[in-house]
Amino acid sequence: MHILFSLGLVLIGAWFSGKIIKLINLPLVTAYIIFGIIAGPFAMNIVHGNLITVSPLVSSVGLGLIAFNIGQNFIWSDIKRMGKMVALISLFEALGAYFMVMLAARYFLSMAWAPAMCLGALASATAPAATMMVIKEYRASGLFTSTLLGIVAFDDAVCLIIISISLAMVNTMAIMGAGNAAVSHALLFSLGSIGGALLTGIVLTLLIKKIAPFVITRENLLIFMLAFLFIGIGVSEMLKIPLLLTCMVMGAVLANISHETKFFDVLHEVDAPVYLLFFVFSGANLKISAITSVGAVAAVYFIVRVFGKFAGAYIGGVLSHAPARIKKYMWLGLVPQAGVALGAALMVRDQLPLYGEMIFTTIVTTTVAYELVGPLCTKLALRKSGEIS
Amino acid sequence: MLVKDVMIRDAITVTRSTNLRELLEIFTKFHTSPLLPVVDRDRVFLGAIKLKDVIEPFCSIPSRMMRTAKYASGGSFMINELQYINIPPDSGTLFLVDDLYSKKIITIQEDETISSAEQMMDLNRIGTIPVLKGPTFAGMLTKFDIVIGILKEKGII
Repeated sequence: MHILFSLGLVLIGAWFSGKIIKLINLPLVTAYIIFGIIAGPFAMNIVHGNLITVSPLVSSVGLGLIAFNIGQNFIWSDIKRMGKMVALISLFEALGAYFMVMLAARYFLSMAWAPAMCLGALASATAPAATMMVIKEYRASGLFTSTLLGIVAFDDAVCLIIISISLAMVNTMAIMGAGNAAVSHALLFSLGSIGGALLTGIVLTLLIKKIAPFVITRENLLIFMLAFLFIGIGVSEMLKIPLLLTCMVMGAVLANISHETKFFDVLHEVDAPVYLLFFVFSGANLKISAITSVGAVAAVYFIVRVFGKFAGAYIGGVLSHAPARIKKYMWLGLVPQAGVALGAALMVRDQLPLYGEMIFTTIVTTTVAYELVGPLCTKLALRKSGEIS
Repeated sequence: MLVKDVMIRDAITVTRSTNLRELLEIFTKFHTSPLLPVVDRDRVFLGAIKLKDVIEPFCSIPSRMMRTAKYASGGSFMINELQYINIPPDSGTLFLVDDLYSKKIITIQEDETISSAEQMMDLNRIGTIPVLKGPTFAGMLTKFDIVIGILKEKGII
């Protein structure tokens, strides 16, 4: 089968499965991943082997776009306005899931520190799309809703930072070939790579700002923005610095120093198929036979992550003197996971061959599960907090 | 040809103390959804307000946030939401332009050329640009004004 023919089939198939899933009101991401699994080389084999070979490229670009967009939400004046409650709950629910899952993986499933840390970091991510869909559908409004929205917008950035630091640490630990003793060294090295990502992001954005006045047509702006995004991703991969962080910093700096949305809008015009392929390939890369072998890990991850979100959100709520219903029910809105976790899991799979496959399989299966129960949980949270009329 | 040669000089403006009801009454006088410049007593340009800014506070999710969450958006949710949301009738006097207007507006200086104005409109996908003279509001410019300006120069009008 020609690779482009297969690509065309994939696009149409995913679009169609999206149509079907809309009928039962589930997030589109679920449709794309499930379609990917069905069409993938381990089932129907529509996603051609050659297509799978380009999937790391698609996932890098997809991740870059996701991170760049998340950065856009990081506008200083907005963060100040959202206040302490949103910031503290976001921080603690992400850290809560991170530490709980990491410790459960280390001590309950007896994993080594490195894979446990990866799983923990991935657990910190949430996905705003499903939550927003529910809020919109039930026209929820009030303090709980606005806090939840603030958190889902803000916590992606927190998660990207956690994931970047953890992956950098795991990478340095792997390079140094040592076990637990090297943690302090790894931390130092990873701080270096985090600094590198921040610097790269800032320098690239300043370049964008400097050159942008010379870009005077919409078409050229698209070329220009894609070029810088690719350069950001490429430089990060070459220097082995976290590409998620580089792209997020690019988006955040750009959103803060320029009040024109054209830089983001122009990419929105073309990013839909990239995201679609990103999710389909995530599904297609899943080895169905591997699902049974990660059953226990996935079950522990599924439960402990949610518990971590609950504990973290509660602590954040206590520290910020949040009303009782926010402390009690906020975690229910933070259940879904999608793009960030999947993309980072793909990165883990490529970078850490030893246990990457296991982590990736866990994340794909739990993503589908979370996206199925996530909307129900959000609905429950909004109902319990009395903000669905 | 320069922007100041073709722009609308007697444009309608509002101040920060204009309330929502007065604002909407001005809006309804236009045939299309307008962008109204917000100025202070000395006609210094502060920002602008359009229908979206007015509706946004009544919607559950800010539109900017919807854009960043892929696959969450879809359709004219604004209209869908507005139909069902309870907007207290006294909002018309409670809300002021000051609470709603947007300060991040693309503007152009009056002595720029019309071709750079057109480029700016295309690049940012906008149809209306407030024209400034230094910090002061001078007029409004749309593509329509540019075309009419050129046709006038050619003696057709």
